[in-house]
Amino acid sequence: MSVTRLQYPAGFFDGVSAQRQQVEVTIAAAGLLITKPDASTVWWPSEEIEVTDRGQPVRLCRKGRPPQELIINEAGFLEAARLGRESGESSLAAKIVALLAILVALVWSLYQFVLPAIGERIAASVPVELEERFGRAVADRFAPPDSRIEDPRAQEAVEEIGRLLRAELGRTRYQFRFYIADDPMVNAFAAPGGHVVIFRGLIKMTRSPHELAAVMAHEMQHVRMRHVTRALLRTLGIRALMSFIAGDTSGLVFDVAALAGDMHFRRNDEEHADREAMRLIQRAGFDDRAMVKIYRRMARETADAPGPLQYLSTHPEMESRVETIEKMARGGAPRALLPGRKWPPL
Amino acid sequence: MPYCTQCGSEMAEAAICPSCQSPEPVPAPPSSSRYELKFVGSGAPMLWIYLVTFLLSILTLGIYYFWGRTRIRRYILSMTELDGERFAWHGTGGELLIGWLKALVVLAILIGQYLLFMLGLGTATGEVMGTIILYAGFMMLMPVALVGAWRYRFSRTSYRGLRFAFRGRVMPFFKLYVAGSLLTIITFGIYFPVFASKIQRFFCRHTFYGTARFDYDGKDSALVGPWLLALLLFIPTLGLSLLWFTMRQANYQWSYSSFAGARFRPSYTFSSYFFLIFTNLLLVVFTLGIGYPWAEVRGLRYMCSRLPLEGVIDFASIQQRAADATATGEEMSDMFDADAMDIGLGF
Ligand SMILES: [Zn+2]
Repeated sequence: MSVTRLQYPAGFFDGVSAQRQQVEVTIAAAGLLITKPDASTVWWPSEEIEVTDRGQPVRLCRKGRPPQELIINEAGFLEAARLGRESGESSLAAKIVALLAILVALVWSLYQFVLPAIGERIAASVPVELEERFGRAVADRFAPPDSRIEDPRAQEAVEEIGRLLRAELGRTRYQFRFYIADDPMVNAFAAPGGHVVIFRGLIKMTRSPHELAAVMAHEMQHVRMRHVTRALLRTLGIRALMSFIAGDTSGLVFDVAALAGDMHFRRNDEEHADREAMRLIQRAGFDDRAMVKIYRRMARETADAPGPLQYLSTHPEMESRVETIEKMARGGAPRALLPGRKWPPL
Repeated sequence: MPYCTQCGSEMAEAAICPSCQSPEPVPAPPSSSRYELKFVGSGAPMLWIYLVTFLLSILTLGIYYFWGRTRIRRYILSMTELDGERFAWHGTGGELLIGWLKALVVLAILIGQYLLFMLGLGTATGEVMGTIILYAGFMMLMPVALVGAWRYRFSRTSYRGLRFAFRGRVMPFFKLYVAGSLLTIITFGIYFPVFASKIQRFFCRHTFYGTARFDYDGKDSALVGPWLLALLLFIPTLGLSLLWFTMRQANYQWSYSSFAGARFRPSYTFSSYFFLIFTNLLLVVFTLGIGYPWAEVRGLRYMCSRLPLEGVIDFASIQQRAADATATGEEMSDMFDADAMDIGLGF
């Protein structure tokens, strides 16, 4: 059995002067006794000792002000003084890998399960008026009022289709408003609370009112099922998580436009909106083949047109969605929609 | 039994005992020397602290974050040495949490008014009004938060057993900052290097280490020329001229700064700094962020190793000031003395 060494030479700062003193440290039962060259002593009680560095050299400080400091250059001191072990880096890599795996699993499950669940809860309790106001702000950002087309013919056509669809939509808390944005992009989007924006480029691309009705039905179903509000809350949640990871709270100072900009629906939401839109079209007696046609054309024509706001980027996986609705289409004789009108109305 | 002929202690044979042979060395008369600043930490321990912080932060709904930050800071300072002696950090997570809560209250008021304006009025003017108040508020809070952060950080840092202290007051700095910001805006940015120089002076002249002090005697207008050049070349160099200016400014400001009578001798260069940033970027990107602590270590090594001091620091004559040693209560009661700056700095 080896005898534990109890005396160690050390460097000492007394907290009064910046001068380093060479001292002798004696390990005692209740603390450390520091003996200076002039034989005067300083007593450090155990409860006031803090190990600030376990490496070489070992550093201790005495809590409280002014801070006194001890620097001991010899291995084995920490264990002899029952202050723990000197740091070894051998197992650190393994520990890091293990912790990393736990973290990835944790973040993934947060992202996949916890955030959506929280978003759902909050979405359910957001009052309609708030959704309505927020939706207006989003619509105003993406399609500012002064860039909207005030063409009465086009507006009338859109309103009429909207009215017919609304009648078959069933009970919903929302009032729908339709805006036509003067923009060549092939796109449409539903802001929360029933504000539906349709871009000029999309209307120009439709070959019949039935085709426009198909896209509008899809957006209206998004509104009815609160996909937009949920997606916004989800995006906000992810932002909060990201800024938490990055330690940067400025990300929480959210801006409506920026928020809606990197928002995207989940594929589930899209397919759900497609199916419900198809049913709505069929209930309203519109041409369900037209929906397949416009979807197919959008998939083809926007596939090679990059742009942050193109229909494809906000509406992913177009091809497989076309197949899904194609299976649902019955292709019966449709009712007349806006008969005797020139189409497209722009 | 033989004795030491000088002090009389027992010896194996009559001679002068070892402690009498080599008496306490008489300190050499101060001659100019070089004091190296060094960062000796490494990436793996830092990554470990980051990961633990991240995990515990999630599990405690963010509360642990402040304690984790404190651990990182303690590690960084304990791995930084000047002339072979390490620094030490004495702050606590609780203090950071309190600082954050103070900042949160102010932030909540600012963002609250913005939302009220935006949703309440629902008009473009309302939003503009709210935005103006938001940004003006941030600008006014900046100097207050800076002084608070400096006061907090220095008072919690020690070296050779003595504390640092930042003794600048909020009001003078607030005036300096608001006047400097306005002049910078009015002169389309030309005033900026003068403003930065004034900040450096305020910063140095109010930063103490025990009874010793930092100082800055640079000329405020010295860097106006390089600054104009950097602005002119901004577009042709794709913004790299700003990086060049940053290094030029760091070199100038530090070479006119001193600590306890010794001058800083910075040797930052554009090419070395650019290389550092570029390689660090690759390091972080290609490791999907895992390499971040190593990038941080490289940055700290670079910053420290190129900032030695030259001159005479008479450590024996530097004493702890009683005010710095007992100021805890007084400083904590100061509303502005909180580290709100930390929140935006990332981790
Ligand atoms: Zn959709």
